[in-house]
Amino acid sequence: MRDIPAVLWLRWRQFRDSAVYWLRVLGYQPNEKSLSQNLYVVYLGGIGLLWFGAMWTFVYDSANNLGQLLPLNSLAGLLQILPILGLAAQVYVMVNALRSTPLKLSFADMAYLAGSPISPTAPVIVGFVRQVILRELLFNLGFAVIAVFLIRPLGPHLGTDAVFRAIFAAVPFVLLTWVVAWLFGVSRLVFPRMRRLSYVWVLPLLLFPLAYLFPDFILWPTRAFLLNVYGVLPVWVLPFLLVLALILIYILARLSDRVNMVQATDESITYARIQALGLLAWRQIDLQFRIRLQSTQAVRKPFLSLAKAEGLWMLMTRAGLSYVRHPIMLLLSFAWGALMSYLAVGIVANRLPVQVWIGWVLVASFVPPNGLLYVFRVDLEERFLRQFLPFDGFQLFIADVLLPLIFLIVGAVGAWLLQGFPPEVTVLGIMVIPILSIMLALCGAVALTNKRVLQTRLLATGASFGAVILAGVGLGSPLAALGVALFALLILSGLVTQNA
Amino acid sequence: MAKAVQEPDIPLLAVDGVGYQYGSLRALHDVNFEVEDGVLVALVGRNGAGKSTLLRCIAGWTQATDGDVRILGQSIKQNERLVRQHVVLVPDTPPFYDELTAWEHLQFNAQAHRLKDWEARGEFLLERYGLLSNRDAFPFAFSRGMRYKLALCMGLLIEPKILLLDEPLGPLDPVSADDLWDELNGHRNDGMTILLSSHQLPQEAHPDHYFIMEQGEVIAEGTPDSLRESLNIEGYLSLDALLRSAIRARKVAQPHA
Repeated sequence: MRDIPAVLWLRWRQFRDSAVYWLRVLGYQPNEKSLSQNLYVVYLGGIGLLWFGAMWTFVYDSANNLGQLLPLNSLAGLLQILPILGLAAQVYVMVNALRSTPLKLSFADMAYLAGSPISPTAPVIVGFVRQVILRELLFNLGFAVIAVFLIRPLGPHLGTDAVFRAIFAAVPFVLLTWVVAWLFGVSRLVFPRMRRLSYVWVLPLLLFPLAYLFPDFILWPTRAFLLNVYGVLPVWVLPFLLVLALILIYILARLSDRVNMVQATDESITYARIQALGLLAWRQIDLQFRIRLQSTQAVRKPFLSLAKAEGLWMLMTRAGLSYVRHPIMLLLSFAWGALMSYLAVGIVANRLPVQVWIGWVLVASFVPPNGLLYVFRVDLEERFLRQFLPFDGFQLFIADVLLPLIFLIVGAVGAWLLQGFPPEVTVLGIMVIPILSIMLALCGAVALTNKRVLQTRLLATGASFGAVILAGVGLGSPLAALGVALFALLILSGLVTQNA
Repeated sequence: MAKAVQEPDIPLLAVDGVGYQYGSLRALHDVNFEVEDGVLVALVGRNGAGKSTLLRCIAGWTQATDGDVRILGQSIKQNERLVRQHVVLVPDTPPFYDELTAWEHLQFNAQAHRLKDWEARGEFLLERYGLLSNRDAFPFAFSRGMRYKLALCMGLLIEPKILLLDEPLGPLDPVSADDLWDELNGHRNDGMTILLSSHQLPQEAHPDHYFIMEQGEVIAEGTPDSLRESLNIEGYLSLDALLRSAIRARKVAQPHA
């Protein structure tokens, strides 16, 4: 416990420096130390608070309005589901803590904290408190919104009290969830026998069947929270839960003194690599994703081996092997296809205006299916690897994209078929989906051949899909849309062949 | 793929007035030289002198804003495939496929170039560079030196006419650096042309030719003997001495440069 102030000071300095870093991004000059600069910080803080307040008010107001529209029988159904969702969130937190240490160390922490005689209790408790404070802030706001949504159907005058009761209930709820998870996670770092059980993280999943068998015993935390929102929870329960959480925190502090810091360091490598990226980790989410994939790959034996083949087949077998070793990329393509197809079905079935189609195209441009161009992107971006591939850009594109494209098309066609359209609409959709999917992949590929990837992708996707939608909706002829799509495919293919 | 045949008067590599502008920064300016078969050339210069940019322009990774690079008399702008066939650049931090093991990288490379019976050479290269025991490991788990060696193996497997190495000795331990130098000598004797940029060379290293770069220009060039004479260097011809003498000579010749 004596070391806690030192670690707290360290974390405060890190927090302050990162805050100054973000302020510098927004134009603050800390070296000037002038009144105008200090006023500028106050101004930025004010603007930030104003924006945050406006956004939260909007969300709160929306929940308020939606709550008024919620019929009582739907509310009853929702109240049955919410305890299960609460349990799912708790299980998720526990599984995470058991899969990898909750005590995350950066490279500097590994060198100077893990390598020092500081008691492990200090970084554990400071790390726990830091994580819980952030969660409390986040969940208190979220629970307030949920509370107003749940209380409105019962009457227009009940909102404010319920919000405060939700916030009070959230404090022990969040505290208990995270202290239990940290106790599990820290136990792994203390007891080597537990560490050797590589699938120990599966255990919290058993809570689901147990919740089915003994709902009162397992689902009580979220139920208690909901009862408090409606003001029917006995007064002593929340203080009792708070005391229970404090006792568990004390146990965590005692237990963490025996933490094996070497193990904590080993398990923190992935976190440290991502943390070392700094701002880049947020600007390039796929880089974070790649580091996580590498760390899971590193502990596995290579699955299957590269098949012997020549020419395009050789490229396809390599792309296939990449996807087999990272099947999540194929699943992402499948899910993306299904979701976007489902949204398109909604637009078609409800005959929504063209503005909604524009929104659909924007979603497709801003949130592209990353799995689709995963292999092609590496081939193209890494010039060292590209120099060993004596193929033109289009050949490379075909071979690298084919497999995830099939998954995307299968997902999209599946979602389309499940809607039960009349036969002519179903057949037309099945014809159009592959063409639009190839067009989408080509738009992404064209973007990758340009330095300004995002802008190029927006331009290519907007122009090609926009033209197809205009032809389809404006002229009212699916054949015209098909013709425009084929023309766009030709142009995009030419660009990929030329530049990739 | 038809192999280009070298005619007697055509140099293997010709760099003609190559310039590269990056925004307002002039990374290369009017670089001219020719390189023949089977020579080992060292590019020497301070950080930011333009060595890496020049190597990237020669390999076709970066399009020169001025001038042209010709391989066997053919412009790389017009015949990119020729470059891929005959030139390999190993950058200072080579990237790899996350999903392929070290051996699969060689296999994929061999298949892409339709090499026959490459396995023995692949094993030989991995063994020569101390990677054979790691053949089934993923390169992202390798140290920086091991990654560089694997990249070299990939390059050497396809036996390019021109091998470009960016800072090859930086990530290597002294023993590996000496071994690499022996290897490079062997490849030079087999007729391969090697251009490398480096801040350090082993004592036993004797490149055939030096290009000394400063602020994007070649300020001195020549064989070790000619440079020793023109730059008045006595004793051991270290890179440090070469660089300092060349910069000093340039300042005397062009005081305002």
